[in-house]
Amino acid sequence: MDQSLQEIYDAILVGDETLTKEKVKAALESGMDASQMMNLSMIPAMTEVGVRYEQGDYYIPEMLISAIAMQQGLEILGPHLTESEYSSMGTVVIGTAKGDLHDIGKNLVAMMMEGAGFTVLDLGTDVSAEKFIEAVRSSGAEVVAISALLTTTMEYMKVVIDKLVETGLRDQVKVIIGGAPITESYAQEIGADGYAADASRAPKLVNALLEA
Amino acid sequence: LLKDKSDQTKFLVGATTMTIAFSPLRYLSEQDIDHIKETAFRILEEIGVSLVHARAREMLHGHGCRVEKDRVFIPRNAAKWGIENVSPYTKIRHVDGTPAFDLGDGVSRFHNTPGLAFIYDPESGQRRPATTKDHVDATRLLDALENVDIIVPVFGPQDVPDEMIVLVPTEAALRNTNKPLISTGIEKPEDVPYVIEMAAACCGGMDAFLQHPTVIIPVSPVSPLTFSDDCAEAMIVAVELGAPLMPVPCPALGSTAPITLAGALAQQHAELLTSFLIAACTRQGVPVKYTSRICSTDLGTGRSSWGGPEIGVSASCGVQIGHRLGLPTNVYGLATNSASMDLEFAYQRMANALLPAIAGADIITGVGSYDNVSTGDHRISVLDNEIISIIRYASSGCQVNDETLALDAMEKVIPRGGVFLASHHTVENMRKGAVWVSPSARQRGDSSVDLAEWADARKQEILNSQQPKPLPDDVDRHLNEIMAKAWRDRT
Repeated sequence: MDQSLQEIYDAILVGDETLTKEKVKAALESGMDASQMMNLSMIPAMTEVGVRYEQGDYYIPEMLISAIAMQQGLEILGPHLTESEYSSMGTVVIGTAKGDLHDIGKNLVAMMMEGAGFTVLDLGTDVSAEKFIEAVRSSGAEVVAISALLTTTMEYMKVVIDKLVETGLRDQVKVIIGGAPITESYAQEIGADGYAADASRAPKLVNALLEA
Repeated sequence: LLKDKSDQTKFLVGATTMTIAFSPLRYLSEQDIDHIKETAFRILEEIGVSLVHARAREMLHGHGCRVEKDRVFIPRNAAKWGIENVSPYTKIRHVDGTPAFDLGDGVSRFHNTPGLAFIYDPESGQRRPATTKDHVDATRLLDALENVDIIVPVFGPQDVPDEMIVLVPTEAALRNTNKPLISTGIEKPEDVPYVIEMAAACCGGMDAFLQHPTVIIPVSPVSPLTFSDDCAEAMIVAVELGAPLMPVPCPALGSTAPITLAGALAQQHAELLTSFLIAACTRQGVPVKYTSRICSTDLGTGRSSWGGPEIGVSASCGVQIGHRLGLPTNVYGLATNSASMDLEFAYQRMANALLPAIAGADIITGVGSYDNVSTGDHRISVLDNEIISIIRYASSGCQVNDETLALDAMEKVIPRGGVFLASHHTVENMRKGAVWVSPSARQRGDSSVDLAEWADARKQEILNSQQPKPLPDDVDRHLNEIMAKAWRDRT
């Protein structure tokens, strides 16, 4: 691997966002092709991060700082890429169920999805079904992700799904749900497409759903 | 083996002092320790020890001890001289002679239960006599487990003649790990020269061994206060040949020692003082460790019992007494009565190993065995690796400094509405052990996975992948020659 590509790769791998930005800028200034940087250095670095996580060598904090370094690098690189060279994996609309203000898990899923190359539209906490619908319509999202920590708010997830059906948007999106009280069987019961037990599994789940 | 025994400069004389890190758990007050020490002196003066070994009796007599029939009565001046003329064995080395770690830094190191006769057989679900192959597998497994710091030959394999039951596993251990080694307990003095010669072959030769011994020799007097001919001879031979000595009395509360812990500690101390005196008479300055192996007695059956909280409490007290003498300590810890991996198995061994760790034990033993330290099981070694990781965290305390107070990290994260999971402070300190991370990574998966099944799979994974680094050709040849001679001469 070219030295400058290797340096970007290494900076993302260790989650050094400052170094990543610096190295991406320097590579651009030296005339390095942006798509080469993306395909030969940055994506392979994130792939390696994923492999290390799967093997148990990396933990979530390391994945997250690598994802942040990747995002920072992409912000600089983005304007130099054509649309075909830089296409998002898809758009995810995410929020916590109405009445639920607990957002740590939701934030983690959002970061994981961004790190995996998705565009994330984060609606925040206490999100009504109407807000989800509006966001799906305006963004053309492929995925709706709903989070709840409380047993009292988890029931609202079905309200969102029913609303998607009612508005004719249900077939356009995959719905994933998660949170401490949620189970696989509950996901099936309310008609969600997928459930993940923790944030780290969300990107894999979404990729599988979109490929199906 | 040692051509020039008169050249004392060849021998290691240990450090004169040992740094003792602060430990939060202290069962005994300083006054309590004084009482125990005083009682030990009185035991030696008034009750004496059973010692029939002619040379040992002669040496002790030369230091003012009174010899009557089979007993030797040791005045406190002689016992004190013994303590003053041994040294702390703190510089621990790998099998190949390279430095491993220094004891006394406040970190507890762990090793396995040695010399087991039985192993759990997963196929039959029963225990069976252990073989040499079991021993090799166990050594490779322990070599791969990051929380096992020292290895002692694991099994006394039942497929070799009695005369070779120490030497065969010693050779196998030397060939399958470079981790620091403690010899298995020596009962026959004839084994000592072979063990030392094999260890020396692996660390650069006899001169290198004498300067930096790579194996310490454990010898057990029989409680109460009995030094058999073989026991005394093994101690003397080991010390003469330049090895550090680890006397390992194993008194049992209520049978081979008083049922009251203070009395057992005093008796054990007297047994250790006698051992140190014999060692110091043989070679002044010999490096030693202080051990505690007090167990209980099952008062329903009369058998020794290795699972109750007496193990952890007595070990912690032993640590305090050993440290008062300025010596590194090696005590029992990971022990259970249970003969299966049930709830009792887990809570007994955790309690018994956690206590001495918090008391500052330098070395804790017991990895890989259960059923009153009678049976080995590879799965238990894997699980002990987990338990030790918890003990290490629990005994490391709470550091308070700018880095751990984390004000800088809070300033970066909180105003941005972020979470600390994505903070560099988290990553850096996670890797430094700020939070306990399970070595098994089982937490990431389905926590309903059966732990015994997981341990079995992990064991197999290690055995399939872990291969020992071959010894250099000359070392390999030398070991073969020593073992050929042993087989010829001993069987």
